[in-house]
Amino acid sequence: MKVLEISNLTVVRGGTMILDNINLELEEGQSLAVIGPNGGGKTTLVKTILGLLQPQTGSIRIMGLPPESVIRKRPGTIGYVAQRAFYDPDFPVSALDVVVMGKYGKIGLLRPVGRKDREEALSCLETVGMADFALRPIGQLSGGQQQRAMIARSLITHPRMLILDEPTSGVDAGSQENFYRLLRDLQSSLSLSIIQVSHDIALVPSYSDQVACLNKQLFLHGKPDDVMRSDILKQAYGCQVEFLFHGTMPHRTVEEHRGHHD
Amino acid sequence: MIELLSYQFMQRALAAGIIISLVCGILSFFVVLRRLSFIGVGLSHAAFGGVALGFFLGVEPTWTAIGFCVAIALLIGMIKHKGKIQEDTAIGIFFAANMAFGIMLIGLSHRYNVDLFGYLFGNILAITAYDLKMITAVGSLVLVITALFFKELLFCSFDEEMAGICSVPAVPLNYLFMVLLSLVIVVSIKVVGIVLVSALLVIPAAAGRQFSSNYRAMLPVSVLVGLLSTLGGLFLSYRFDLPSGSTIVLLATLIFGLSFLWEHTRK
Ligand SMILES: Nc1ncnc2c1ncn2[C@@H]1O[C@H](COP(=O)(O)OP(=O)(O)OP(=O)(O)O)[C@@H](O)[C@H]1O
Ligand SMILES: [Mg+2]
Repeated sequence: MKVLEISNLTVVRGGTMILDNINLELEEGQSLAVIGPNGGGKTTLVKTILGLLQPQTGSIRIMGLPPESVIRKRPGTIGYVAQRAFYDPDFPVSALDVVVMGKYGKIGLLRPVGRKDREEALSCLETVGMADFALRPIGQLSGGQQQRAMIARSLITHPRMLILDEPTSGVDAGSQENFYRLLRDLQSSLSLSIIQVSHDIALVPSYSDQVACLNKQLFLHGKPDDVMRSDILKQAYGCQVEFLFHGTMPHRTVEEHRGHHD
Repeated sequence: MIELLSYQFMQRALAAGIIISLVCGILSFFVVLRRLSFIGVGLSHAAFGGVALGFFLGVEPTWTAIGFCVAIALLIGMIKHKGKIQEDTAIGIFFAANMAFGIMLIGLSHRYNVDLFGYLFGNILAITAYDLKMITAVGSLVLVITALFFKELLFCSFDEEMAGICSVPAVPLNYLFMVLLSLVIVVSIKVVGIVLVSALLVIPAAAGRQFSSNYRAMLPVSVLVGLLSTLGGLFLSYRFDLPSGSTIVLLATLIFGLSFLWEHTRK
């Protein structure tokens, strides 16, 4: 089953075309890494998938439904970690409270938060190595710890699809790789579909089934093979250029780029 | 002190004070968490426009004030939701405009109603049975609705966009919150007046926040601060024949000052 189908998607922001004719499909249980330069449109794509931005043309279907319908009719289907959260750092809630919030929509209106919900939140915090900080006020956690709490929140509803916009920014290197492994485990054990935006081109592509390069236009690649991987590791910069600067910035043409991979 | 309570005006003042401080304490909790401190100022001035409209048309000012204030509140919510400007800018636009509208209408009605003074500055000792009925009705409504939607209102105050993605009906709740605020402001006017009502929607929670790092503590402390200042203000204003609205607000400010000192000497 396809969890995500995007066809002929064009998004305009502030009079500029940010996404140009994007086509993308994601099968259930598959993971996709989205990479690309700053301003390439990754966050714009994510927000459009979530129904926060309206496309100029084209359509998005999540499990066959438009984004707004999925969110309204099937609470908890999508887990989301934003690139930047705009909350008041002094907001008087604990990390555990924040994680439980992720479930409010699924719990539903007029129903109180139960002990079971809090236990689930605690186990999500445990998953991201934050159980010891559960009762700390959110503002008294370090940036990376807050980010982990946000990741825990995205997991609490047992979503079918996870959308992560640079989830590991601010997370230390060792924990980053743990997190990638965690995602891979969740993916295989729950047949979870994952879209992860990342600048970590050294690691994230190797943990993903597909890689999409986004710079206004989107180019889809299969799973990078081992040669590519060592290439990336050896020549991070060279590969970065190769990976990122195609399409609208003609470093290489698309055809050449594809030929190179095939 | 006890025989004071046998006076009917005192019983009404006490009842009104308790309900208003309870409701304002709870709403101030959300106002402060949403960083909407000026919403009270904006909406109370809309209420002024509404009261003036009532005088102009010769109908009960409370009703025109409710209608006008709710309309402005929804407009502020809509401008924030649809437009590029923030709530505080929208409040800034309507704040002076409504005042100007009210003053214009009062000028046009060619009669300076003495009642106007009562609306501007309020008098808790002059609460009528009708006022108390309104306060009780609105107070119960607001208490029930905030209790029912507490968790959603909390999430929306924390991160509205994320609440929406987590299937919380953030946009309708935002409008609902604005309507509740308008209702409470209009009925509170009789107690502290248009000029001062916004203080009751900020100071209690500002003090509550000094004392607590979790909302479970902050909420009851905010309500308690509201109660202390309203009841204390009521007593002081009766005892020393002071204007009740300003006594209440000054007492609240004093409590906030003490909470601030307490918080900063503790470290
Ligand atoms: N609110 C906005 N209004 C108008 N244009 C915007 C807005 N937000 C972003 N843009 C523009 O859209 C383009 C894509 O931005 P987007 O945030 O999607 O990039 P990104 O790929 O996520 O970048 P990064 O790697 O820095 O997170 C940029 O050129 C940016 O200037
Ligand atoms: Mg981005």
